[in-house]
Amino acid sequence: MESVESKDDGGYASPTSVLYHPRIGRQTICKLHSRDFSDCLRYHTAQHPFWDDIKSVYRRSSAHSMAIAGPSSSSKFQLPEALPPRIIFQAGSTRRATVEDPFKLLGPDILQLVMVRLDALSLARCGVTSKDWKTLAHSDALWVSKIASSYSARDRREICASLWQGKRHIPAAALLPGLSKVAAYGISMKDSKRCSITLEDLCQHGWEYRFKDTVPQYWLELDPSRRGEAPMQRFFHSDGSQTAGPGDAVWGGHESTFSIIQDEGDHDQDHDSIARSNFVRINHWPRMGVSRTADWGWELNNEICVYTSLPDSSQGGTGPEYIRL
Amino acid sequence: MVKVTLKSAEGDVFEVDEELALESLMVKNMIEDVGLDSAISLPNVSSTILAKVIEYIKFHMDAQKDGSKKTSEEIKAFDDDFVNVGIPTLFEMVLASNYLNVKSLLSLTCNTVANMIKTKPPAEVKEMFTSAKQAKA
Repeated sequence: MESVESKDDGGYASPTSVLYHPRIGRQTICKLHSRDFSDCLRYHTAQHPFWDDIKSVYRRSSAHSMAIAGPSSSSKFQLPEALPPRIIFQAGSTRRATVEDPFKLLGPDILQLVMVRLDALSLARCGVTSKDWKTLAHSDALWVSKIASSYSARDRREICASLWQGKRHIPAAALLPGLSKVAAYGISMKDSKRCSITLEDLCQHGWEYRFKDTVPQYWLELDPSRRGEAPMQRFFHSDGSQTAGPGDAVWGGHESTFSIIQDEGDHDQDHDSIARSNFVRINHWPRMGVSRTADWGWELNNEICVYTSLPDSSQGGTGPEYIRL
Repeated sequence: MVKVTLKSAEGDVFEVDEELALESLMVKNMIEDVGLDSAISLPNVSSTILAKVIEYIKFHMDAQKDGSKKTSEEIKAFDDDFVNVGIPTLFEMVLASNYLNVKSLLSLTCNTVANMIKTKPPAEVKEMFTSAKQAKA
């Protein structure tokens, strides 16, 4: 029996038509004699345990079937049951599988399935690979799912719920309606690292006031948080004055003013020094350095006491203006 | 056991158990619509890929059967090995599992692609997907 050349392969070998022969090596089916073909099949059977289910292979092209089964058989060629075929995988042998931009090959829908599985950093990186990727990687749908895997009870907060979950303050700029979610994410991240405190930050939040261990016993006894009770509260007002919450034993009732001081002297690239260069002074008392906590809260502290900002309420802030509302 | 006949893009015919074929929602719908008499034609899936998909479903069906001795490590090892293929083949499998609507395989392959992208700087991601194209051209 003569081997028959395949006419319709167009230069490509169909992956199924390539088999491995123990003696000849890789060979296209159409070039194999029938006895060699059986050898191939025996080899493939031994190699592949999972092919019991695949009982038969029919060749569509009559050229192939003639090579396999000989001219006398019909175009349907039944393989012996015990000899399931194993296909040699050849990279690039299938016509469609040339590697190109996944955006074009997979299409945006499937690529989105891939991107949903990326973390924010990788997703942001994808956004700068190409224009097509950017459109997709910056889409709200992705960032909503990324940021809001668990929904927060706070309305209008649901967008960045996962990123924002358990955080004390969300920057107002990130909550603007119509802002893309990737931008909201970026703004939030950037703001969470900001250590230079502004008047708005001071006034927007209520502050818990605690003494440090270093102060004399007399003052410590006045601090309710030492007795396991709710800590004292202090409020900064936009006119530069400071007030206390109700029932504050430490508060003397005299007028208090505060100011934010920017030390222009030692700005350098080091993050810490920027933090140190910005502080808050209340009356003539020792200045208080500004720092951020892991949950995006603010912290002011000096040798005597610590101010910590209260978590945002459903109206937004917890400062004096919000309490009046 | 009822058999289902699947026909790949190249015209190769795969005869599989009905139970196995039903794992693909797309094939399941086809069977409900046209019945089991004729071969189900899958013009978007090449033989190579269809074979891989069947291999995957078969393994996981066996693993889920009662009395299967396969541990979760073995299943994971199989999955890892299964997607340890070239990018072209991997993309073909993503497309095929999406087309055939095999949820678990789609999830596995998408995860693999995502892991390839993850932690790589943008230039490398770009390179990863374009270098092979240039090599071919």
